[in-house]
Amino acid sequence: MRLNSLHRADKLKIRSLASRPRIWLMFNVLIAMAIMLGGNLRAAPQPSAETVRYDSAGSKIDALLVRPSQTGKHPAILVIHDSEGLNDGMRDVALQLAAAGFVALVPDLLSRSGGMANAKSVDAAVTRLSPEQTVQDLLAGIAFLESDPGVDSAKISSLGFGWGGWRSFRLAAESPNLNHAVIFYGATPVNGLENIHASVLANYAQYDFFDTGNSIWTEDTLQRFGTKFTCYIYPKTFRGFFDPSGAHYNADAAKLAWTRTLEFLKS
Amino acid sequence: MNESTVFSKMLCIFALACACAAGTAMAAQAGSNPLLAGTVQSSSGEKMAGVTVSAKADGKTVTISVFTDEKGEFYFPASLSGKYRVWAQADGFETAREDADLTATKNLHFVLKPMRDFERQLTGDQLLAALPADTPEDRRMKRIFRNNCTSCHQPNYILQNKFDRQGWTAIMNLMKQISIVGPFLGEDSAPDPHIQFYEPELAAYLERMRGPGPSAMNFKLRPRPTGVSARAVFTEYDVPLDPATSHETKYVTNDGSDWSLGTPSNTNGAIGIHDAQADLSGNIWFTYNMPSPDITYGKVDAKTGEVKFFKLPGKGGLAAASHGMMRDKNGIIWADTRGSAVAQGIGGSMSRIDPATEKIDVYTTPPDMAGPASTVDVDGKGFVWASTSRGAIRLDPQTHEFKEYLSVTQVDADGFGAGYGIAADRDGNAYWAEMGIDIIGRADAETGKSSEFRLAPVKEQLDLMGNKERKMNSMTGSDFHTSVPWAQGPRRMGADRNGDVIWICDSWGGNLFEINTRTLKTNFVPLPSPDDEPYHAAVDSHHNVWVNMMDDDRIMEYDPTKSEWTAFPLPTLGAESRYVSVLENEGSLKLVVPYSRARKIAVMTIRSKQELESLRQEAGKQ
Repeated sequence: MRLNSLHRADKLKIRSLASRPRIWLMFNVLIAMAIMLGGNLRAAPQPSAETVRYDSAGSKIDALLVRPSQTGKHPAILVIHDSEGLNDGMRDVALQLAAAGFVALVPDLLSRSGGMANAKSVDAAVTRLSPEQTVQDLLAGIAFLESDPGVDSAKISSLGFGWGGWRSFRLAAESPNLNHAVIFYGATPVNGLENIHASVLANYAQYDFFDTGNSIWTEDTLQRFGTKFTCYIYPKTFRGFFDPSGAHYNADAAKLAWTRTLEFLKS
Repeated sequence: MNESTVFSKMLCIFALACACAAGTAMAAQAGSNPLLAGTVQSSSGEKMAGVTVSAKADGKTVTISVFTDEKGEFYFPASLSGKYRVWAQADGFETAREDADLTATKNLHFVLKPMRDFERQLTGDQLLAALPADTPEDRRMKRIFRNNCTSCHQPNYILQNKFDRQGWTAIMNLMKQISIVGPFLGEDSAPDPHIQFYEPELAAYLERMRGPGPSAMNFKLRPRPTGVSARAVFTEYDVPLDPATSHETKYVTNDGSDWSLGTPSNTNGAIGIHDAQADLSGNIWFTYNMPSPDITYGKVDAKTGEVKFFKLPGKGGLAAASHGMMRDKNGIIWADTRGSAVAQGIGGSMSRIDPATEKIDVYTTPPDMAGPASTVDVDGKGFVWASTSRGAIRLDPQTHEFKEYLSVTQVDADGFGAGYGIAADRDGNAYWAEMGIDIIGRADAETGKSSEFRLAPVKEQLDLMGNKERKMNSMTGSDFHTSVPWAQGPRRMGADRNGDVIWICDSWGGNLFEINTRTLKTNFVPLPSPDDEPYHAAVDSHHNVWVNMMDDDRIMEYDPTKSEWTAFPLPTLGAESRYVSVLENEGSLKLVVPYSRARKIAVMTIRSKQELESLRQEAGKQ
């Protein structure tokens, strides 16, 4: 446990999230799925979302926390955003994870500089962040989840996209108790792989040549250290194929990668 | 005696009279100034041909270099006056120095002593040639080193030093995470997969070649220039360091003039000069591709050596950068402008420079059109072309309208097809190199459509690959920094607009790819060594192809009618030239060679045997 004090604040009601058009659309999709599965509106599971604030070595990190509707302890996923920050796409991911039975925590790693709202250019602000500082803030997020009574602390995993992919790897190296680590088109850290105990799943884009080209070295290295590593390369896709708002969105690849990711996280 | 015989005899007498008159005129010209001449011999007393002899006037920024003939004699052009530092150099020998006060003709006699540890003195081609290639494994590792470590700088910059395995690993740990212009990309950046994959093997290989123990390298010095190569004269102009940045000196301290100091670094502010073109007055204009507060273009006064910088507003308080340059038939210089303050969207700008007035007009591509990425050419109809990240653009110099041509293949399993070199033929078609994916794009002026040529891979290297490394290379592909071992690497190119050929420099394949612009038939022309790395080509009016060898500090001339290569070594070690251009006027041929690493611009001319004989006779009289 790296934190001495943890607290939550600024709880939001689900309707504040749903006021965002994309999120509202997501809820409609979830509701439609529930109907298709034979349920009804009143019985459809409703994930609860709130913003929380946790402590990281004296600094406050804002995060989105989404829980499954079912009570009890759940496995948890720390979602690490790409260079676009904690945007609607990341909220969608958290909601989908909650719908699949996970508690999802998405830290806003710009919190130390005022958060997403204060960034003139989110991409520039995110990519300027110190790699080590962001890893420390993510470790604090893991500690926050470990202290949550609704979380099965033995089943905390990480999921990072692009810029966050490297951090998902690094988090696995820094957090020996991490259950699984998932990387969507992210760089492999050149150091520290020997410390990874979590099993690792990587979803690579064929045309993300540097990240994907390192997959053989990554596999060899992790195998040498006894770490389970699974990777898939999605043909004719670019970095960002999972992001429906991006220029390189590929629906088929995104769907397949998500199916594989959920299976892996549940394993 | 018939009428035709009489006429023939008269013609002969007239020709002889003309030749005598020309010789007298040259002698008179030679006699107008004191001469600088002399001899070079080895300490064992042998006359040394092909020795580079350079002279620089005290306090001046222009260096003249000539070569000794087969008798070991050298003759500088009869244009020098004042006090000079003069030095003579040859690979494997220590630099010899003299001073010369040219108040009267001066004959210098250099004696060169052998140098024991001469590796630091060698050019990249000689160091590459010394790497063993007797076994398949050695050939494989040599190509891996060459294709991954010599794209952005010369082999001599690397191999002049020795490190143990740990040292070579430390260097690669940095190199695998820096950008093409040098900055560290951060520990969270993806390491270059080629270097990451090969790092342990490459470190062991480099330790075996250039480590603390005995080396497996086998040095065999290249022949010194003879014949026409030894008649070359180089005029090298120093370019001052960026005045807006803080440097302790006005010029770089090691500029490659003294080979014994080794290949110079360019991290001291030297890097920046890229392409260069002489205007019709002989002054030289150049582009500048590094971030600078005040340099977009530069101009060298060919008579005085004075350098003037030109700034176009860029972004973030910097000057706009530039890269490619070409002169049109009217003498107007065209260049690209990167990061221009006026550029919108993904666009960029093209600049029109009028050398007579020094006026620069900037034309910006529409925001939905890719901007010029790097290189520029002018077709036979006067349209200005530039390569872009996704193909090419054409600027109409009259209407200032742009037209875009997209590459047929933008990306494939081998990488991204970002355009680099471009050349345009006399019919108005353009060709551009997609270096990362071994494709040459073509824009058809008549149909407005794009097509492409695919280059066959270097088969020997494919066969040398193990399964795992072949898989890694296939997944990673190539880019401007590192490449798969079987890559051809088409980099830059030149058009023969007096003929119908485009000559493309395949940096990794070590050959010229020839496209006949009328028949579209293609052909590979190998360079003398498979390790040679041609960079850019310029074609003169006699169809000869002039190629700058970035890694070799040489200019190579290819005569397609004889299928012959001639090498012209540069007088500077570590020139690292990325361009060569040709100026032909008043019957003379000048080659302009900008030095990217050594921060100079050279002009090469070739003297006739008659000119040299006149100087020899004049020096003998004085």
